[in-house]
Amino acid sequence: MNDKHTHGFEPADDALPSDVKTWLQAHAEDPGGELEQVWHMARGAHEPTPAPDEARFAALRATVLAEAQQQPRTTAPDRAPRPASLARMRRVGITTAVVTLSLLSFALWLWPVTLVAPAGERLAATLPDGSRVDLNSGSHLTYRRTFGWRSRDVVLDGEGFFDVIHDDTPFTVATFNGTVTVLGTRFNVRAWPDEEHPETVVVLQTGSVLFAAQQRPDAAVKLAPGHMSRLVGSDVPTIPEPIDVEQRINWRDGGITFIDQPIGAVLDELERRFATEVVASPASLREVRISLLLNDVRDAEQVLSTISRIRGYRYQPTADGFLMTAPD
Amino acid sequence: MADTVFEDWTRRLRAADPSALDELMAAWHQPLLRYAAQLTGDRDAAYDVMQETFIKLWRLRATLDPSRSLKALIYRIVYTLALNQNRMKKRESAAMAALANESPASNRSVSEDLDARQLNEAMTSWIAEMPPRRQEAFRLSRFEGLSHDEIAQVMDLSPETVTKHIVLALQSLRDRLRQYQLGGS
Repeated sequence: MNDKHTHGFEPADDALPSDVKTWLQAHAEDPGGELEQVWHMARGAHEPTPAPDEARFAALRATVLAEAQQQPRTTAPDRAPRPASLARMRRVGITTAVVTLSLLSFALWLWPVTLVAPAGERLAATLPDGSRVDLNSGSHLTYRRTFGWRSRDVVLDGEGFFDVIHDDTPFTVATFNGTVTVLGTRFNVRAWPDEEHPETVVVLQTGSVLFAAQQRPDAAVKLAPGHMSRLVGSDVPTIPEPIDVEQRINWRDGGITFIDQPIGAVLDELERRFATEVVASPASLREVRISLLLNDVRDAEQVLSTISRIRGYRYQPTADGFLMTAPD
Repeated sequence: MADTVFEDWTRRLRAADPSALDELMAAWHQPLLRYAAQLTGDRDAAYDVMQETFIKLWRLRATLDPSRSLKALIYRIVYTLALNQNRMKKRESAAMAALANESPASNRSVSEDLDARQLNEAMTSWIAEMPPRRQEAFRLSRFEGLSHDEIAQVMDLSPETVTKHIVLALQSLRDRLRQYQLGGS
C-alpha cells in the first residue's frame, strides 16, 4: 500500500512502482532502464488541473454537510464490515440491478434542492410549505425534498429574510455555526462563513425564535420582536438587544446597513451585491470599523464614495472593480 | 508508516462525525477535482461528481472497513460516478479534438533541447491515445499516486492486471517518444 499520504495531497511518489520494477526484472524487459526513464519523464504529463472555484467548493461543502447533518447522527452499527467481494456482487446481478435502480431513484429523491442568489442578484422564493424567503446576493439556501414532511429544515449560507407560515412543524435555519428554530414568524439571518470575522446574526421582526450554537443546542436564547442576537464561534449567542429591524433588513429594498462593523465586511457585501471586486490597500484598512446606513444603493461606487468621505480614503476603478487606498 | 489521517477519518466517519467529512473535503477536493475533471472533461461536471462522491461516502460510512484503503474507495466512487454520468464520451471527443490540433511530430524541436512543456503536452496526448482502461490505470498510478492494490480496488481488476497496464502504458510511451525524437532530428 502506498502510505505516503499522511495529509492532503502530496505529489505522487516519484519512484517507479515496485510491482512494475519486479515485473520488468522478471521478464528481462527494459534492461537499459529506458522504461523507468519514461516513467520519470511522464511526471508532468497530466492534463491541466482546473482552476479551483472557491465559491463552487463552498456551495458543495455546505450541501454535503447539510446532507450529513440531516441524517441521524447515530453511531454506525458496530457490525463487522463485510469485505464487499465484487465477484459475489456480480453473482446476484439482477437483484443488484433492481436494488441499485430503486436506490438511485431514492437518492435522486433525497437530492437536496439548492436556491442560489448569484452575485449581483437577489432572489425571492416560496418554499414548499408556502413560507417565503428573500436571499441576498451570493447566498445559498438548501433543503431536502422531504421538506415539510415532519420537519422544515433549511441550511443558509449567506443572508436571508424569512417569512415563515405558522405550522406545528418547527422551521429551522442552520448556518455554519448556529441554528434558528421558529414556529411562524418574520426574521433575518445573516451568516457568511468566509468573512474575516464570521458570525451568524439573527434579527427578529415578528413572532419568536430560538437561536443556539449547533454545538450547544441546550444554550438557546429566545428573541423577542425588534431584537438581535449574534453568534461568534460555537458557544452561546449574545443576549438579544433591541435594534431597528427595518434598518437591518433594508437590503431587501437595495439598502446597506452596517453598524460598527469592519470595512472588510462592507467590501465583501459590495462584491457580492454588485458582482465586482474591491481591493483595500493596505489590507489593514479592512479592519477599520465603520457605520453606514444607505437606502437604495445604486452601485458599489456610491458606497465607496461614502466610506471615503467618512474616513478620508480614496478609491479608483480598476480592471476588475475598485481599489480603495488610505493616504500615507 | 501508518496512514494515520485516513485511518482516523475512517474511524470518525464510522462514528458519524461530520467534521471528518469536512476535513476530508478540505484536504482532498483539489486532487479529486483534477481527477474528476479528467474523467468528465468538464469542471462543472467534476464538481457535481465530487459532491455526489462525498455524500455517497457519508451514506456508506457504516460499511467502511478500517482495514481497507479509504483513498481507494473515494477514487472508486469518483470513477464510477463519472462513468455513470456517461460523460467519458465527452472527454474522448475532447481528446480527439486535442489530437487533431496537434502539430505533426516532425515540426517539433530537436530531441536534445526538448522543451519540457512541449514534451509534457506530447506525453499528455499520447496518454489520451491509449485504450481507456490503460490510461486510467496509468493516470491513477502516475498522477494520483495510488498503489497497485488501490488501483485494483478502484478499477475492479487484479493487481497483476494493473501492473500489466502500467508496463504496456510505459512501453507505448517509450515507442512514441522514440518516434518523436526521430521525427525531430
